[in-house]
Amino acid sequence: MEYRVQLDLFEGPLDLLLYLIKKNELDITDIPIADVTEQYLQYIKMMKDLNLDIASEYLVMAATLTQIKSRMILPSPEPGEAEEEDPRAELIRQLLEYQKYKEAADSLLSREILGRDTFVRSVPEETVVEPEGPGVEASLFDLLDAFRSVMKKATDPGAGEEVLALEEISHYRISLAQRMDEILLLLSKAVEKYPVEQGIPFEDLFEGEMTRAFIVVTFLSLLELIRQKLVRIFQMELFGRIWVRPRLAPINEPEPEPPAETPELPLFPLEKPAAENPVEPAIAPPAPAETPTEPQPPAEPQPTNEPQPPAEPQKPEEPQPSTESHSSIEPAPPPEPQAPIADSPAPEENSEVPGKVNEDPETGSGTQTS
Amino acid sequence: MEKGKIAGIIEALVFTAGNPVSVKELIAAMPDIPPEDIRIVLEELVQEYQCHPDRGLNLVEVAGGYQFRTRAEFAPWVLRLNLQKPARLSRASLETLAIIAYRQPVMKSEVDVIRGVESGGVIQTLLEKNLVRILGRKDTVGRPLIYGTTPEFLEIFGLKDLSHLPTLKEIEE
Repeated sequence: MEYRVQLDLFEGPLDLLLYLIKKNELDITDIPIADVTEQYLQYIKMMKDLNLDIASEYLVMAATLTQIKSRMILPSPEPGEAEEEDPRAELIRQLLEYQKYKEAADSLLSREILGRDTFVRSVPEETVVEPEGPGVEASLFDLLDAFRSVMKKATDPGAGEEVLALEEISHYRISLAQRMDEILLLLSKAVEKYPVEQGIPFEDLFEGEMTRAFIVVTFLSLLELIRQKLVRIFQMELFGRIWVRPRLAPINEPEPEPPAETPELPLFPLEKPAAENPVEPAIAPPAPAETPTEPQPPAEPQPTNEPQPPAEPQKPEEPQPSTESHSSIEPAPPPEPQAPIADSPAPEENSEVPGKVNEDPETGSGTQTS
Repeated sequence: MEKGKIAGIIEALVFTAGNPVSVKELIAAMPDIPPEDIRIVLEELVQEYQCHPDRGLNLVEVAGGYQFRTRAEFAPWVLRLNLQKPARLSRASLETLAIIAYRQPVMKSEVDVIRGVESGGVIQTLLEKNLVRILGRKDTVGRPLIYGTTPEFLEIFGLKDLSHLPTLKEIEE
């Protein structure tokens, strides 16, 4: 999992550079590159000393700066054609472009913002999370249940051809992007079949090849479509049949590509979950979804404007050893706590939560008026 | 019908709708009143609310419609009533949103280049907050997604439409 602590003062290397330029009251179009480079590297070093994970973009910029600096020092090879472009030109252009949008962001921020300065009769959140169409939103668990039953049907020992299909898996390549397009197309066509709901039953997505790979890819594609808010899944009653419906007008008619001529976009390691144990990767997700409920503490620092990064990573360790000690009652307690810390997901889970919280206060300070 | 009554109907309609009500909808709701009258009265109403800064509400044109909104100076009290959560947007989100707003339809890679950092996570947040939406896929290698802003974006920043975005400062050479 990728997780990085960002110095919340800076949004990126360009932001840091702009900051240095402002701080030193420099002319952005005529940056004394040697000075700026040195200061920039000092900041990078400081971040390193603080043990912050430095985003790779910062290092790339450090390299760029150093390169520009060296090019500035070198005399131009042929004095005759001295009209060589300023080595800084590209960087300056980039900085100006970035600054332009930074200012645009400021001017947006200075407007009367709904939910901050001005309010409407209905709660803004309502318009943001609009309950659209009939039925209730199906939960992830409903989806997983439905997925499991499709999978069960496909791998029913009664049907012999599935075993055959399993062997083909390693050669089967279909990208998520491709399958997502296919699903959207399917949905847009389904309007004739199910006029009222303007969607199709969940199981219908899996019509066709009932191979594990196909089912898994289809399911993952569906999850991705949900994540991107391109489809909505709902039930007419609780625990009822799951329906899938497009959220937008179908986007730019994808040409239905035959899945056979494939891999222009080999996306994710699809084969892996499909080949090894197709059910488990899908079942796994709920576990992390459940756990975040218990590390509440990080949520509290929200109101304070101060970012409070890793709240108390120690806390979740306490319950861990106790559960672990049930299984192995060895007379060597000291080394034991080590293990649960290492492989229990809790600390990592925890480290992510403050990350999210971390963004909020920073926002708060930026957005909120007192 | 006398103007005062038309104004009353408009107020009632805009108040109950909650979401911005377009002129078209107002006209449709008042079939026996000439559209021109409705437009005139509507404009007068907007002016009238503007001229009374001591009143709590403003009638504003936003996202292609009209809506009653509270005046900014009363925000502290509204917030104290605690019915509504203050809007929160991180600096990174705001910058990214600005780039998408001005450059749409735009690919993630273009946003990355302008910001100088990877912007996937931020765009995801904006998608979740319904400020940004996927417009489709670009017909180039990899068929990347292209992004644009939503009507909610206009509503939240109080913009009539995209042409009313504050003008960008041009880059001087």
